[in-house]
Amino acid sequence: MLLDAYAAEQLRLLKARGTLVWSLAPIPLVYLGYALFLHWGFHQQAARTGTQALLSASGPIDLIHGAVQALGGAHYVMNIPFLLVAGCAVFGSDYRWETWRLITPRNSRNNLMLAKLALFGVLAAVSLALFVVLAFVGGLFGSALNRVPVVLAQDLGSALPRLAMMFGLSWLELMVFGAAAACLAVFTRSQFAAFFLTLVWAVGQGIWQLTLQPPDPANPPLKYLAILPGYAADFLKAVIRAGEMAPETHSVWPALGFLLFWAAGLGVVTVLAFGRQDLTRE
Amino acid sequence: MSFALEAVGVSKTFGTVKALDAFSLRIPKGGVYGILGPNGAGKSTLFRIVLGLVRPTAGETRLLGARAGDIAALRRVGAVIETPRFLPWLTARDTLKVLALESGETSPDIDGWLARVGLTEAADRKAHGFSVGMKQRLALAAALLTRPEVLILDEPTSGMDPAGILEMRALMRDLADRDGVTVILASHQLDEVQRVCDRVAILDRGRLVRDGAVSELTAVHERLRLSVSPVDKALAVLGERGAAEGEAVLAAVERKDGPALIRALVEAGVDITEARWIGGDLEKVFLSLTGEPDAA
Repeated sequence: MLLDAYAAEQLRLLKARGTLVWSLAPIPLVYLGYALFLHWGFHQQAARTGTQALLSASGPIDLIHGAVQALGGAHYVMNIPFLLVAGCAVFGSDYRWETWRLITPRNSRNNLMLAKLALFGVLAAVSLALFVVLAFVGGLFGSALNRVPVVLAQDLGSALPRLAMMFGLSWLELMVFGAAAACLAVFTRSQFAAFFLTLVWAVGQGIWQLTLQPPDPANPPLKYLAILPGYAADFLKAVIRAGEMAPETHSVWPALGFLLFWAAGLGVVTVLAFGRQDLTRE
Repeated sequence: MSFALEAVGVSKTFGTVKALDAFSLRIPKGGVYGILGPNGAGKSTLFRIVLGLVRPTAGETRLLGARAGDIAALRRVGAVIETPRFLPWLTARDTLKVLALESGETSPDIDGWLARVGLTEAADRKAHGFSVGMKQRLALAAALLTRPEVLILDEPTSGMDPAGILEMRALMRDLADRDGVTVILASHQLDEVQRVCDRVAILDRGRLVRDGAVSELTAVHERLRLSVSPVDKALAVLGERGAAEGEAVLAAVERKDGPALIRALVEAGVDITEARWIGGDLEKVFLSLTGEPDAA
């Protein structure tokens, strides 16, 4: 029955092509455009200064490294509003169009909400996968244009786990925002409120994070890791990017734990609240 | 006897408004059952509770013997409640596909149900372009997707043109008579309920006022209309039971007393050119029980 609910949600979203395109395409394409522009810029600069040979000898383009940077970089944060377009359509459209009365008698409320959360999870994964693919495309373009060698990774043994960790962490961070949007959709019964308030929360966190200057960045205060999931995610991303060069830290597991707690906690609250909600109001 | 729907001591309060007040009703399986009541009587609230959309403040409801909200039971029930609403970007066919998936219906006869509700030509049009009547038809098709044993309909002919209303009435009777579906409907249209329903329940201010077979309820207000000559002689025979209506008289008698009355009039020298039973009007029953001119 959960699979039934998921299949139905997936079909609904696939039929909303405009929503799907706007949620998945803009930022990855902007990122690709930026990467291509950068490589083109290098090419033009090298041509002007006659340093093509230097460019070619600068070392191979590491595709996985580029993908890790793409997943953990700023472009990813800008992706959240667009992903929320589809997310809030998934979580809020039944309130907006009053279609809950049509749907709830057909499956359990837990399954209906879990299916929506699962669909958002798949959407988030697809979005991140797009970043990885387009990062590879950008790297290959740069290699072809500037005649720079390209490798999948300089050290595949460490690069693949780093890519997997960055992917998983980025996905978990997106799930926090997705679960927040779901929770807000249920409590406000409004698609727009879910989008707007989640965005305010994401931006507010980002601004607050900018003001934080922990005395020991390798071991930030637990309270900030706890109350700012974005901060916890950024900390973990920095550790992953640094790889073996990362300083000694005992905050990794707490940060990961807090992030998991936010995602799972918001999800549980959403499912429980929806299960008890009167879906029509006098 | 097994029941399609049972409500025992059900109360529901929305803020300060008591929509249902210790309401109890048992609807047997089979046939078409009508639920009548003025605005705010609690009909829609009852349906919402039974379908698990809202929780009752007190009491219990059962659908096909299972507690309200039980998914296994709900999958044997189809429902159209309140104004039908659909996702605007889905076509009629896609809407039914999504709902079939939601219900776990593995081989839904989507084209068959669209044809039965008269939406074949509009199957690939988006729902946002549908008229109210077309949305009602689509909602009915959605309710019938799982081949339900019980069909709950809230104002099923609302917004339909006269031809559509006739089709809907015929479909409801057909579902009950041919497919064995128990149809439970709430309707504005007293005339429609009287034509279509076998039994009715009348609600007022969240409570059950009366329930029973339509024929039994309306028998109270039946009259024997006799075209007679001379009228004054006939009125003399009838006494308090009679009232003049032009060239005819109306006699307030039970059906079993009709033949004896006719014999008495003939023996008194009254010529009778026509005799027929009239009235038995559900509207009169409704008004006498609720004092409200508007059904819902």
